[in-house]
Amino acid sequence: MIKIFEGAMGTRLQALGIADKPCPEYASVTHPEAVTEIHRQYAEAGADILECNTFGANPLKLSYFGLADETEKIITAGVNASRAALKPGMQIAGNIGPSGRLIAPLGDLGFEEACEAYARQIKALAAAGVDYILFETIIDIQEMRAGVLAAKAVSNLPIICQLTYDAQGRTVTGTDPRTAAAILEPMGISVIGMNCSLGPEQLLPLVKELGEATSLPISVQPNAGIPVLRDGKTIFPLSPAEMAAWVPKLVEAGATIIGGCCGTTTEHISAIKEAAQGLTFAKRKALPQGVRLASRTKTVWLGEDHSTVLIGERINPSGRKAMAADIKNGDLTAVKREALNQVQAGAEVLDINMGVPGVDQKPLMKDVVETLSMLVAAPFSIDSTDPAVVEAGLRNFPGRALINSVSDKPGVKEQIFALAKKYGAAVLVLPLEEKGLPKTAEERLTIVKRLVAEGKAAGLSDGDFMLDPLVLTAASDGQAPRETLRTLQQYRKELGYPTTMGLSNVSFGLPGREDINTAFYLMALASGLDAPIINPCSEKIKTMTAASKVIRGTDSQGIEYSKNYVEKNIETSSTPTLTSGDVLAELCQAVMTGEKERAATLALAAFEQGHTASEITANALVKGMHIVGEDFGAARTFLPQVMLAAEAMKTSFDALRTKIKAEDLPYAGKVVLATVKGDIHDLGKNIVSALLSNSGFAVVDLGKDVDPETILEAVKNERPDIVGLCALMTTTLGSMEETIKLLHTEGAAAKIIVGGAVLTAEYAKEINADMYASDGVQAVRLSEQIVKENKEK
Amino acid sequence: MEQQNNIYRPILNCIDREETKRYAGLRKGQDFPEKLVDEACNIVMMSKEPQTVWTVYPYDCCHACVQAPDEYFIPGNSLRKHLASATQVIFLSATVGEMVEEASSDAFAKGEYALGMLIDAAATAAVEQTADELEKLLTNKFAKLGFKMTFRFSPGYGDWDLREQDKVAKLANAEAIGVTLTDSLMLMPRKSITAVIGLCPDIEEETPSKGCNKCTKLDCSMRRDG
Repeated sequence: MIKIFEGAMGTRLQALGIADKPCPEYASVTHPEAVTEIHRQYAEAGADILECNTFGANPLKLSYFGLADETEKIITAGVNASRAALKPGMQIAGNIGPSGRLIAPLGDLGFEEACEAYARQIKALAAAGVDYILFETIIDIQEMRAGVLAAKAVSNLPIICQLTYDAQGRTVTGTDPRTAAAILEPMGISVIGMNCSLGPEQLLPLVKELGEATSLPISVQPNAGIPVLRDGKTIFPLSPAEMAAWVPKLVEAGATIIGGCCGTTTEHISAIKEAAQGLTFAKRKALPQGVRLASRTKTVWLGEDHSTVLIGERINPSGRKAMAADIKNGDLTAVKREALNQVQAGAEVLDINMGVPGVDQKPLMKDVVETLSMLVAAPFSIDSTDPAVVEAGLRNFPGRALINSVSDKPGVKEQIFALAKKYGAAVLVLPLEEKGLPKTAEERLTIVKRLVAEGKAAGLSDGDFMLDPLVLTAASDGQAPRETLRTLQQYRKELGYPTTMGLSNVSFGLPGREDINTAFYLMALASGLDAPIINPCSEKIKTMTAASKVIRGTDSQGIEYSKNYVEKNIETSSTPTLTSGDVLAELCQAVMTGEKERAATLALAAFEQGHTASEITANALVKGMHIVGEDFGAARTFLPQVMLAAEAMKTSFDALRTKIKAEDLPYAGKVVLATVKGDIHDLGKNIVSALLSNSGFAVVDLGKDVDPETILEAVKNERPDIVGLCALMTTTLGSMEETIKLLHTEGAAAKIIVGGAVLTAEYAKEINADMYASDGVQAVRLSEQIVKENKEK
Repeated sequence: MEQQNNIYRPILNCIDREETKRYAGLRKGQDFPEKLVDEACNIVMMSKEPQTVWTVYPYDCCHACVQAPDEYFIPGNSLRKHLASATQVIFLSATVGEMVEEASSDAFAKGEYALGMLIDAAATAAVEQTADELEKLLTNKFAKLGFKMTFRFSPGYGDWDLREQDKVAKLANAEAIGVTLTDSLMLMPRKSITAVIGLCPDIEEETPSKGCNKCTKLDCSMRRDG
């Protein structure tokens, strides 16, 4: 039978004028009869489950009203007010809304602080005798996790988890319904669902999505449509009949408990009840076989029926001194870089190992998990043998992680299984026991079977196990790799759980390790390996993974594989190489296309062939740069390409400098350059500086926010041909004018060129600048012109 | 009542490549090493520190008055028009921190000019994405009350003078996320924004128009195609 929740409470209290004295929850204390009366009306309308008036009765939220101390009193009053309206067969859900704050690092509420606040609320609800703990309107999965962990810690009550989704089907912080199911279902909740923000029409596809991702009952409490404000009142447009018309569809999509959120009244509930009469639970498709892992925003499936998943192995300081040293110094840059690189190379799960000697791994693991979960969307595999470190990772990860790993080690394995159960994590089972390495596939299978049975006894289920066949080095035991492959086959045949292994160990001590690894990888895939723990940045691994997906049929007709090839071809063909034999023409072209290395090589070649530095500069480098500059002026090319050309010039000059003295390089003139006082913009000035210095000018770059006196002093000391001033904002034009005035009164001979986003030619004239450059290319042109005119004089 | 903790550090799992290219002045169809764009986006991914902060005030549109403890009267027509149907206004600030800027300068110092430029552009894209994420949070908060949100309006848009920046930053409580002003009223860190969003009841459709097709500056290098 479809169960029915009651409808909105807050809006009803508002209508009675008791919602803001000082908060809706306090009405249970001041006006218990009124609250009971609302419940009674919902009961009359046909609600099966009442939701007590405790939505915001969280000490964190109550503290806004100075009521944190009265948390228990308010909750007890709320539960009692609902109980007074209870009819036989009905139940009460202890209603819990968001804490009103975001959990770190998204906000400033600590995860533990959130858990404590929820625990206090839940304890009071349980003591007052509710039948369910109902989380609703939650917008961040990490807050939901904190709530569930708190509920599990202080009560045995069944838990209902309802998140709020937007029209794109995600919570504010990015979780979709499938991913919510992947994370919350293994944590041992009883019902999963959604409420608020959207009406039944918009929630229907999300319920469907959820139904395909969970075997739990699904609750849904839509708003009465998308609201509008009229005459200062929030109006929800759907009538009871309109809302009820969606009930059969919601049930068909998988909903088993239906209610109403904002804008729903007793009439809505009554209509929903009637529409639900006689409807039976929809039959849902069984979930796919395999293991699913999830980050806050993404679910990844592993197993025989799914595509090969690469687990990135590179966040691991063992054997990598630089990374270990950085981590020890609290610098996570290398770790972040490895995370990004691996994900971009195709890793879908990241293994995190923080085994840095001499470092307390617990806080470190928490830190890294928090940092990386803000950076990448891949779920994590928490790699440690220390249960305390594993817990630090699991607790703070806003998703469903894999524990790497558990072996048959008494005293530890029990803890690992308990952690997997508590946090809803999957666990990688390693066939190791204390008495020594099991040699044969059969021995390994026996150990794994024993561990799986123990895991199940601890509350885990089939979707929670991944198996490792054990990889030993070929160099020390020639039969070891074969036995690993046999183990994979046995696992597949006997258990069918997804398999994983770190395979690089196999080639230890052999030359050409990558070839051995690749061969082993492919044979392992054929033997039933689903998710290698591997370096995804290795080109061979990348190509072989893509190719093997075609063979396995998971990349149907090789579409993805082919795409890769098309992209590669474009990349190599996009820089046509001119080989005319004329080295200066080639160099000119290399500058134009911004090919740094080629330009440097060609510049040296030109020099070896007897061209002088001036010839090379004039007939190749500057020529190329001029063409690019002209193209830029005509909008045929754009600034980034001009900058690439400048880089090619720079490498050419740098190369020539190794052959000749600096003073033998062509000299165009001298420029003092600055962004004026009060202006902190660097970019425009940096661009001009780069272009000038690679056009033969000596540039004295004074930086940004430079006061007039400093500029004057530099002009006096350096005696430049040109002073370039840059201002980006209207608010700093004044200081540009001031600088020019000072230079003029002090009789500086240099010509002044000004530029910057807000400048115009007219304004430049107004403040007595000699010239205005609209962009960096023009600045170079004007500078050349000034030097030429000076010479002619 | 919920004034005290309005800080949100959103997750950015990627930097918008297309926006980065647009901010760098690269147009579609241009032959440009895409790897360099990727590298710039990666560097910004590594060095960004996205943070946002916001504050909501009642708004009296008849007198264009933001009812903050220190009342703020909206100067100029464009913002008044933008907020014409608002009853509340949200002042916000968003930043990606200082490290992105250092990364850009470092690249220039190493002679990697194009990369330096692209990092700057990617950082701009990142600030906008950061503010977009905050808008998602605010939409969730206010849509359920029936409000529609206008698009973000920043000092410097229309005839809203840049010199109002200090008042806007104060109303947004920008200091809470480390965003301050220089004497010449520039935001520090430089890759930061302030803006105001109007909360409007009684509108069936969002009326204020956003986007390049409504702008009269046809030769703008930032103009979106199409």
